[in-house]
Amino acid sequence: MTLNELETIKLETIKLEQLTHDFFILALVVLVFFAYLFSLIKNPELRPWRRRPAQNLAKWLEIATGKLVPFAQARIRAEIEAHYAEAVKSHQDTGLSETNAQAVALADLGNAYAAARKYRREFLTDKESGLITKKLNLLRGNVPVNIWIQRFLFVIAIMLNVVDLFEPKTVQISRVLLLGSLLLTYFFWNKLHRRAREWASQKTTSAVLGWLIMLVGMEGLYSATLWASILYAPIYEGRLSGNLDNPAGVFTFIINTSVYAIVVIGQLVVVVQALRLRRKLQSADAGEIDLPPQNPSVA
Amino acid sequence: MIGFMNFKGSLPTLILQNLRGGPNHGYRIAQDIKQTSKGVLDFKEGTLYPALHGLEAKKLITSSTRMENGRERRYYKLTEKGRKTLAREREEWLVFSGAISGILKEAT
Repeated sequence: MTLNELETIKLETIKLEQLTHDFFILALVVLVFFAYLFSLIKNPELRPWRRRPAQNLAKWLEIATGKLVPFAQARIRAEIEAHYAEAVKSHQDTGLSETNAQAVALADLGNAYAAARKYRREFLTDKESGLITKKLNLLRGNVPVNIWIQRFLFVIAIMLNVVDLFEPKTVQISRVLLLGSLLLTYFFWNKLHRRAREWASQKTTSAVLGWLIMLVGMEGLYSATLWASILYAPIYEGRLSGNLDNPAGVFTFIINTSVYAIVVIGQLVVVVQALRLRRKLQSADAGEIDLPPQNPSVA
Repeated sequence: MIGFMNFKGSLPTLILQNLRGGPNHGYRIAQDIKQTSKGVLDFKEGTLYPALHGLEAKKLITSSTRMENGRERRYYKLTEKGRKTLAREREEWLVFSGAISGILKEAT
């Protein structure tokens, strides 16, 4: 094989690599776009043009508490209904008609969408409750497949990073740190998960919740590190800077940087959500969580 | 009415201060704060309850329900931890507002 042929093969390989990167990034952009579109289709109230102010108390409560678990919904409804009734009576005492008193009392409650955002920060949502049930089922040994997916992804992440690490070029400190974090979080997550499974099969509700709180925090951290490790190679690797000499290079740079920013923000969101769920679980009443039946065979 | 951004972070402290006088329910807490501040501190009452739940989650207050005129009412009560937090925050606020007032007086 001549030197020219070798050079051609090398150039073709680089082209193929670039093509893979571009395809991956394009796929990610399309995925994010369709995820947003899907969320708009699934949740009509997310559409900005559909957000009309609540016309009565029933609608206000529906918007403000719609996504919360029944336990939280019942508590907020009882409080707001009592609050509203007293406010209407108080306004009527000042000489307002019933209709006007109701309108003022409703306006005093404020924007239902803003209240809904605040309630979702403090109370367990339906989505989170479903997630907790899934995790508890997992702890009870009923759905072990999720764990195998997590472990499979761990192997992929290690392979992606280790292969690039041994390429004859400057070793990236960020990649070494990422790999170290991945190994460490996997170790703790795996260890914690085994212990939690043993406990969940035997102990009382409060003990199960205690393990769940630890597990949710650890999983958030592990998940963020895992996805950072998987996405690091195709997005960051050699492409972030782009070639800024021509418009196509500038375009690539903008797209790559944007996607990388989305990935970083996405990881932060995962961690923040896990921490929020952990905080909610810490203050949750046992009645708020639907615990699945125990499975003594796991222990 | 004071700017929303200036008042937002102070609501939990004002709730704790209100509960210092004894157990109270949401509507009364909201009215007390508005009346005591002579309408300067106004807020949307629907957002009072997440703040109350946040304080309860931090164990600064506790809650219990009572029946009143055939309706269930939730009463909130200050805990010992809440009392200590309030004392600390009051102290910090007095020092802070004293310093700002001093500077503003000097400027006029």
